[in-house]
Amino acid sequence: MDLANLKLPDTISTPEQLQETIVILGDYAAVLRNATARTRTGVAAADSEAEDNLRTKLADLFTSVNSKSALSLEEVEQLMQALQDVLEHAPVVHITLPDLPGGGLKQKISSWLRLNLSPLVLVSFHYNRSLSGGFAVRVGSRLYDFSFRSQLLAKRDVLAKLLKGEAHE
Amino acid sequence: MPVYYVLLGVILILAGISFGTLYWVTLLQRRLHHHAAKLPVATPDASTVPSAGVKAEAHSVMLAEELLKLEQSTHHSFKDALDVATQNLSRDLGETSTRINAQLETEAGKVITQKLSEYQKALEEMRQTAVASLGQIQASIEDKRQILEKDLNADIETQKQQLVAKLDQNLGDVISAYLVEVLGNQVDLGAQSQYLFKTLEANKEELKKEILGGV
Repeated sequence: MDLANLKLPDTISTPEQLQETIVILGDYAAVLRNATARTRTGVAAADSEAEDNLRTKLADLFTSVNSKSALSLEEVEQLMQALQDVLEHAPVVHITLPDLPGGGLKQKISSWLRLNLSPLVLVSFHYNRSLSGGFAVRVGSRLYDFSFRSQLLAKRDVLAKLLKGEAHE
Repeated sequence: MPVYYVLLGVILILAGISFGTLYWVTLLQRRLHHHAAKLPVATPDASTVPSAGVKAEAHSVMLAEELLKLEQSTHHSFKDALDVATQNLSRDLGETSTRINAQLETEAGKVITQKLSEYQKALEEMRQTAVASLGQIQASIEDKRQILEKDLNADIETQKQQLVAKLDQNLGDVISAYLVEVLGNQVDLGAQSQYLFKTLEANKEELKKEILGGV
């Protein structure tokens, strides 16, 4: 398992989703410990349905980490630690839209950000009705206002020229 | 002018000589009368033989009579001479006065003509100076007028541009506010996704720099 080049799946794009994944991993690790203990003590194996459910939830993550559908307890614990480091140190991009985007748009946005900015970037989505159109991006302490309102206010002289027929755009 | 002074000097000299001569003659006459008054008047007496003293007295009387005659003759001669001199003096004075008047008129005329000429020249110079000054003043006024007109036009143009810019700004504000108001309640994220990704692509480097700087 190559944790140095860890890549998060598109289904884990926000800090909340990553936090949830870490919790699920913790639950999965606990299930694996129980299974190991039962094996050592000769107790019959517990119902594996819970383990299967957890594995299903973590399938994308496991696949992106080592192309396998299951991990050992040790690998799960290493993965948890790595994900915790990502949660604490990865850059977070805050995007504000006029309305909350759907799952598909969220994934597209996070995919673009991880492809062009950083593979471990996390995205936090917000909404503000007053934007009317466009969006705003905040990275660290820097805010980038790409809303329609700010664009119109920045180019109101162009509007006047358009009305007078002087501008060509 | 020197001729005038010379003539005047001659006249004064002649007058002085005449009056001096007249005074001397008058003085002599007084002395003679005084001396004649002192001498007794002798009447001839046939019965007596004139003595030496009587002869001396007669001689004195005869001398006095001679002196008196001489005095009278001299007086007449002097009077004639004085009349002649007086006439000559009067004539000379008249002529001299006439000449002096003529000379004065000539000189005065010359002086007046010269002064008049100078006055006219000075007037002409003053007139030309005044005309030149007036021309300079007019030129200066014209320059000032042009400068003021130019500045005024520039100010008007500046104010016009400011008003136009203000109008454009206010117009832009009105249009922006209208568009924002119109767009307010019609949000379609799907339709805006193209704008979203296009804008992110355009600002990719800057966002990347900000992220890497913060990591």
